[in-house]
Amino acid sequence: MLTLRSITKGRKIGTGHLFMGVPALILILVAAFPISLIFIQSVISEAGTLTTGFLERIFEVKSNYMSLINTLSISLLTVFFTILIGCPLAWVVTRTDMPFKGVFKTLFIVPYMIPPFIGAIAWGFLLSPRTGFVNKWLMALFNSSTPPFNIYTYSGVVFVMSLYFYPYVFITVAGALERMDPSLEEAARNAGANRFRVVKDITLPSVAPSIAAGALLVFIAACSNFGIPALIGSEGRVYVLTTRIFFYIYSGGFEGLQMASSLSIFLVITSALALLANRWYLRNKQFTIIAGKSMRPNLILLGKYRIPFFIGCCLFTFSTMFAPLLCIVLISLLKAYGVDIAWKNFTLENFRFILFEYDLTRASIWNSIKLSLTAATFLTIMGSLIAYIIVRTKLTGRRILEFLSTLPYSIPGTVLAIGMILAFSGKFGINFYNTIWILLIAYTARYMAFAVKSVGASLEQVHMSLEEAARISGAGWGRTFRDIVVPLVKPGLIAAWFLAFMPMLRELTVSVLLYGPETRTIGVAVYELQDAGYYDTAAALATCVLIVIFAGNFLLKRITGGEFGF
Amino acid sequence: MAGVRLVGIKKQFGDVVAVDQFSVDIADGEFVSFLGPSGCGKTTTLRMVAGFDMPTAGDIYIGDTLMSSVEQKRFDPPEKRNIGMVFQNYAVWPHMTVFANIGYPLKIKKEKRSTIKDKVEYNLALVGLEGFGERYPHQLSGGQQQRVALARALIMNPEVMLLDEPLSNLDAKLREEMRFEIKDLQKKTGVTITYVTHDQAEAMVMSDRIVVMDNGYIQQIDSPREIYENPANKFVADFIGLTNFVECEVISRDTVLLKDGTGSHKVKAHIPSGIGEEAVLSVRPENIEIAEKGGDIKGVVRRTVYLGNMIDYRIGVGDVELRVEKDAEEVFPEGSEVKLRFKKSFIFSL
Repeated sequence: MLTLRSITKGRKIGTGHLFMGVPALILILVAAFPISLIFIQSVISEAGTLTTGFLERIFEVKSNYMSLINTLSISLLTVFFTILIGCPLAWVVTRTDMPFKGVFKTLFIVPYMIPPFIGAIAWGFLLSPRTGFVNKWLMALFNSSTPPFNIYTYSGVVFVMSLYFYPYVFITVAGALERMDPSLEEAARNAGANRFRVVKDITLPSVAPSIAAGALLVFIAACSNFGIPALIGSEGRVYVLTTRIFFYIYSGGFEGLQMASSLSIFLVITSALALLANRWYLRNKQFTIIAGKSMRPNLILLGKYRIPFFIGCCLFTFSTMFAPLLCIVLISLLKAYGVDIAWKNFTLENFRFILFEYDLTRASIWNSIKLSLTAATFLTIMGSLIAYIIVRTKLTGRRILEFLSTLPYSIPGTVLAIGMILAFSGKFGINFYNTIWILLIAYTARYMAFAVKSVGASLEQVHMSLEEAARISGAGWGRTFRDIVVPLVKPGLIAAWFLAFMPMLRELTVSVLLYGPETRTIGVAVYELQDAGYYDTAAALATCVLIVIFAGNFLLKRITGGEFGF
Repeated sequence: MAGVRLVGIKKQFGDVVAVDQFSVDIADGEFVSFLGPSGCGKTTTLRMVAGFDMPTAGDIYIGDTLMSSVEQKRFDPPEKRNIGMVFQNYAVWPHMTVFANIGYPLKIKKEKRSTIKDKVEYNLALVGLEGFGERYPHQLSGGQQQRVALARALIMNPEVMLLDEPLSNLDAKLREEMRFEIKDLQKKTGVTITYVTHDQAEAMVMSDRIVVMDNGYIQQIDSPREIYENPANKFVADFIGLTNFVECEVISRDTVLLKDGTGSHKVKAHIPSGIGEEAVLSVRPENIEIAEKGGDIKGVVRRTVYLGNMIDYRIGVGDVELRVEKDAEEVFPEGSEVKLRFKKSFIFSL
């Protein structure tokens, strides 16, 4: 009785708060504490006095502030190009009568599922100045000796980022276009505006807040990304904050850690500023022209442009998704990197090697599976508990719990990793550095938000009266939870597990800073192999990752009846 | 079976008082509706009886058992109250079959499988859903889901049934049908029913007594007829049925002067206000007589609407417009001058 009251009403401190205290304590330990250490570390000197040393460390070293400027400018350019790509694509699949637009709607989201570092590897294979397929093919075609493209440049980084981050804009804008009230546009037509005038005066301003929301996601993804700048930028000496932080952690020592955490501060500030800019932009755009329910939007009849639009979309899909993925798969099947693509050169030897022979890849696969299984299971359980507290109870402090659970995902992964190093490498009596535990903690903290969000969304679908009906039928709180709540949120639970498991299986940004000699993960292994020039082996491992991702997504979609997955 | 007794119930959410000074004694087997506009506190009161909300003050008895008392620090959770409840959105569990939904309360009580089967069959028949046991809720219409919810509430043989606007999601025709079915079910089972609604017709048709509520307070508790014919105050007169309000001044113990200045008008009703005070007169459209001459009040017919069995008049009296309903035998054309007489009216103090 007391339990019920405290859980469902909770105006008093009681069992309900104990019930909330456990996840809160864990979150403080694995999220709030490590992250706040970064700030403390930066402003406190070795002697223990307050210092502004972190500012000097950035601005006295040219390559440091260059990396800050690069991070900002690359991210802004990426935002610009993703809007340029994402908006027209969203418009084409939601508002025109182009053939197969439903298929394209799914295809355009594919880059969202592909790990950016694998995309970076693929584009390297295609556009590397010396060995890139496209370059070799064009040089042969025009009988030239200078390669036309070089991916290993500043613009190469922007290019690859734009191709892998535009789905953020695409998804938000397509959603808004689908839910927009068609009568708003019809009214403009009545007022005398032609089709294009309506797009300019009504449609675009209406979806502007959604474009801004997508742009914010792109900006944060771009400035926190490690894989693309590491594999594309570093080769051409283009450094950003994440790659500089990586450099400092590997240079080692107190000095290196000090530098890395100082740079982390700037990474956090950069993404926080983006968030504030977004708030400011949206401050008086709270109009609700986007209706909640799905409407039948007005379709623009393309007429004679139907086929050209269709061909355009095919070409885009082929060149930006199909070609790079195909390229990775082909290289993974080749006897050696650089031989001609011909039947006689195909073999499965690379796969046999990485799966059954090579200790480095075998250990990394095993580590990643162990880590992802454990972390996904643990965070699904804990995330569900947190989601239940947030959605269903009125406990004071539940908003703080929500904030804590989403914090580790809302900051760049690099920053979280630095926090982990500061908190768990012996300074406070716990030394997990170079062990699997530090990775497990980091993974759990980082992807907790996924479980809280997807279970929370499912819970919100379950009307309170369904639980009350069970209570009035004689079931106690626990019995109601078991008989009613759990079965009804099952799709959310499964989705939470998968949504955390799949990105963890190929995680790179956090792992690359936390792995030890015995705890290499799949992402790290692919990165190292590629970096060391074992292209065929890296491609084979990347192919395995891609297969698991597509299979997992397909499985998730089947199990949840299409509610989750793409 | 048992009655329900609420004594001095108060519910406060933060600074907002949702219900206050609520006392009612519902007899065993009685059908009582809580009627009022949205936000009047009727659902909150029902949820306190169910045990989903805890009163800020007051006691709740079901039969002779004290279920909730702030003073005695007693609060039985919903599952211990043996109450059947039907929710506005049915709350039929989507992951269970009709059979499993209805049988759930018995499963909790750990009854034998064969007993559960018999009782579910019986209750399915009671609500007219024979043969629907193996279906899932998404295969049923709204009306059928509502019947499942009713059967699930009835199967536990509850002391009391609480119905929270159970018909508001149904279409008009089905709603009328269900009113009689619910009333029939109550006659068959003899269960005490507390019914929450904002639809006065629903309350009028089904209830033995109606509790009219506004702004958290009880306005009147009476039979449907009493409430219509002798409303306790201006709110009740306005909320139940149609009425005309005319501002007036009390000039003697049984006479008021209408504010439009067309003349004094004698009323038989008890006048609560003192002489010389401002008040408001309420007269229902069917209680106004129209004649070419002879009445007390002069008016002009502004608009007539023919409704088949009667005519709906708008009659201007000074600067006030009165609505009058009269049979269609004699028609007063628009623009004609008429005399009005109030057969029955009430004076409410402001």
